[in-house]
Amino acid sequence: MAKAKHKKIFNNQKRKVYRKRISMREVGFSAFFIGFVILMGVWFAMRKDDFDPGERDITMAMMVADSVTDNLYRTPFEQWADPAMAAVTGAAPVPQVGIFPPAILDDGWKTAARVKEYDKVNLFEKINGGAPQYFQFGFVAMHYVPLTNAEGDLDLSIEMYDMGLFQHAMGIYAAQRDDSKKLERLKDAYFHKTDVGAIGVTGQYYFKIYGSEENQIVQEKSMQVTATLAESALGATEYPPVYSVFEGKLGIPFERIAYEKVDVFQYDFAKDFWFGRPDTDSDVRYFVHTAESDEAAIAMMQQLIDSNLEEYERVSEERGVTVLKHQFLDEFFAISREGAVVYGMDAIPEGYDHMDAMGKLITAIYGAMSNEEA
Amino acid sequence: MDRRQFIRRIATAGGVTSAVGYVSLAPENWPGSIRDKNKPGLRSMPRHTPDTIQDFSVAKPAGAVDVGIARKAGTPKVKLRRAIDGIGGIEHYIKPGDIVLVKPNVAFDRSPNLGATSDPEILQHLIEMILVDCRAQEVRVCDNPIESPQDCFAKSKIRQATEMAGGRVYLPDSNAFKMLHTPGASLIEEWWFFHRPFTNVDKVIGLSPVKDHNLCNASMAIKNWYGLLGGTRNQFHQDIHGIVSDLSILIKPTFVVLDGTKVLMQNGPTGGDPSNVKKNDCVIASVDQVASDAWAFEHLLERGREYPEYLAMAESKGGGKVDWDGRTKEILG
Repeated sequence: MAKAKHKKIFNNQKRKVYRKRISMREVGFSAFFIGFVILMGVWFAMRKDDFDPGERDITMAMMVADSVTDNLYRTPFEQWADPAMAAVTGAAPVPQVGIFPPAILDDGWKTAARVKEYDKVNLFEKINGGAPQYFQFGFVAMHYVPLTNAEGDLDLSIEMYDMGLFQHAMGIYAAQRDDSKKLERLKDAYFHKTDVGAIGVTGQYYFKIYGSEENQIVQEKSMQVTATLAESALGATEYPPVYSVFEGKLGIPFERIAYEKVDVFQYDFAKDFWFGRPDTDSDVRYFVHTAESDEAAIAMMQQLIDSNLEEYERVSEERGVTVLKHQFLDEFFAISREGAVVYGMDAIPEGYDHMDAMGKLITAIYGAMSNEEA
Repeated sequence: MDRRQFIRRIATAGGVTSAVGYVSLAPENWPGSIRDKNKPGLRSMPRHTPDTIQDFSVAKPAGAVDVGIARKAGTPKVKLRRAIDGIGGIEHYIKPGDIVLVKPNVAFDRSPNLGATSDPEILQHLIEMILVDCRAQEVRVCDNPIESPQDCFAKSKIRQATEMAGGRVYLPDSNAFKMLHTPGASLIEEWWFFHRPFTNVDKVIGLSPVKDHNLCNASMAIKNWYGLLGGTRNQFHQDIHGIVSDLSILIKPTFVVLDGTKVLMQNGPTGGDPSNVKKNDCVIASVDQVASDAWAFEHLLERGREYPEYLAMAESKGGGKVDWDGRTKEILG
C-alpha cells in the first residue's frame, strides 16, 4: 500500500463531496467572488497600460493648506576661492574672470555671478531670438560676466562675443551699430558710447557693456572696462588684407568699412564681400570679394552681372570693366575681376570717375598682396 | 497518473502560460494585445494627460472698442487708465474677489531702459488698479525667462514693482509645468505650459513691450505668451511665424496692454543700447491682440502695413482680426 502511494505523482482520484449540504451563503459568496475576479480581469484588460501616477499625487489645495511661509535667510552669493592657495602663495585669492582681464574688477567692483560661456548650441539660453543674427557672422562663443559695485547698488554686464575673425566681429557690429553715434578708437578697440555703457569691437570680439543706470559712475566704469579690453591681448588680431587696403591705402575710416558674410546684394550665392565708402557725402562704395580660384571669381562675376540685369541694363564694357545702369534710379554698377579678386563699385552717381577709382583700388589690393607675399 | 494524462496536463499548463505571455507581451498591433495603441511605453512610466486652460476673455461692454489707444495723455498711469477706459474700463473686466494673473515680458536680465522687457512702472500701476479699484483678491505676476528667472525679475525691476504694488511673483521651476492641449495649434497642440500660477485664476492680462525682433520682425502682445512655454521651446525659432500664430490661440486673455512708452526700434529682442529705444507717448489696451499688434507694428514700430506673416496666420487660426480700421479709439490729451 505504502509502495503504491509513493508511485503516485498526482492524486488521480475523483473528487468526492462528503458534505450533505452547501449553504446558500456559501453559494452566494462563491458567486460573488467569481464575479469579482471576472470583473477584475475585465477592468485589468480595459485599463491596458494606462496608468497615471499623477492621480496619486497630493492635490495642490492640500499642499497649499499645509505649506508655510519660507523666511529662511539665504547667504548672498560670494565668489569661491580656494583658501589653500592663499596659504601656499601668501597672496590674496585671484578672482576667476574667465577670458576677461582681471582689471575689469578695478575700482572696487566685483563679479555678481560666475563667468558664463555660451556656444552655438546654448546661445539661445542667453539671447533667445537674437542668436541667429550672430550665427550669420560666424559666431564661435559668448562670454558673459555681470559686475556689481562695492555698494552693491549698481550693476554692469559685459558680453563678449567671440566671432572667430575680425571681419565677423566687424560685420555684426556694423549690422547693429547706430550710425548716428560717434565712433571712437582706443588702441585696438573701435566702439561707441551709449547712455549705459559702450558697444564695439576689439580684435575678433564684439562686446556690449551695459549698466543698470544712466549715471556717471556706470559711464566711467564702462569706459574703464572698454580701455581694459582694448589694451588686453584679446584685441590682438591680424587684419584682413582688404581691410588694410581700405583703411591704410585708401584712407577709408573704420565706420565706412563693412563686411557682409551672407546674402550680399540680397543674393544667396554672394558671400564674403567687403565694402568701403570713399566719400562721406555720397553712397558710392567699393566692393571686393576674394574667391578661392580664378574660375570661381569668373563665375561669381558672371552671376552678379546676370542677376543684376533684372534691374539694370548694360551700358559698356571696356578694359575688363562691365558697367550697368539702373533702370529707374540714376545710378551705375561697375564690376571687374583681376585673378581671383572680384571688385567694383555700386551706387555710382552720374559723372563719377569710377574707372580711376577702381584702378586705384585694384592697384592697392595687388600692392598689399605682393607685400604680403614678400 | 498515466502518460496520456501527464501529456494532457503539461499541454494545458503550457497553453495557459503561452496565452498569458502572449497577451501581456504582444506588441500593440497584434490581435488580443493589452497594450495601448495610442500610448506606447511601460505601464509604470509616468505619463501626463494634457490639460486644457479656460477662456479668460470677457465680452466688451456696449459702445466700447476693441483697441483703446491713449496718446499724449499725461503720466503713464493716466495713459494706462485711459487706454483701458477705451475698451470699457477696468472695472468691467476685473470683478471684486478675482484672482488675476498679469504676464509681463521678463525674458532677459536687462534693465528697463533698454526696452527688452516690460516697463515696471506701467506694471506697478496696473497691479494697483486691479487691487485697489477692482478689489481683486490677488494679483500674480509670472514669466518663464530664457535666463535665470531670479536675475531677470531683479534686473528688469519687475519683482520690485510687483511687490511694491502688492502683487506676488511666481517663478518657474521644474514642477510648475503641465502638458497643455491647444486645439488648432500647429506646433504646440500638446506642449509644456507654465501652469502653476494659473491655478484658480479668474482673469489673465498680458503686459508687453513693443520691440523689434530679429526673426519675426516684431515682438508685441502675442509673442509675449511665448514666456509661458516650457520644454525645448527654442526649436520653435525654426518656424517663428508658426509658433507666434499658435500663441494667439494658446491663451484667450481678458485683455492685453501694449506699452508703447519705450519702443525698441532695432536690435531686438535683446537690445543693449538705450539709443535703440524710442520714447513714445502711447499705451494701448486691447481685447483683440492681433488687431493691437497690427496697429502697434504700423504706428509704434513705424513699419507700414507689411505686417509680419504671423498676424495673418493668427487670424486664420482664430486668434483675432488683423484689420483694426474702425475698431480703435484714440484718446488724446
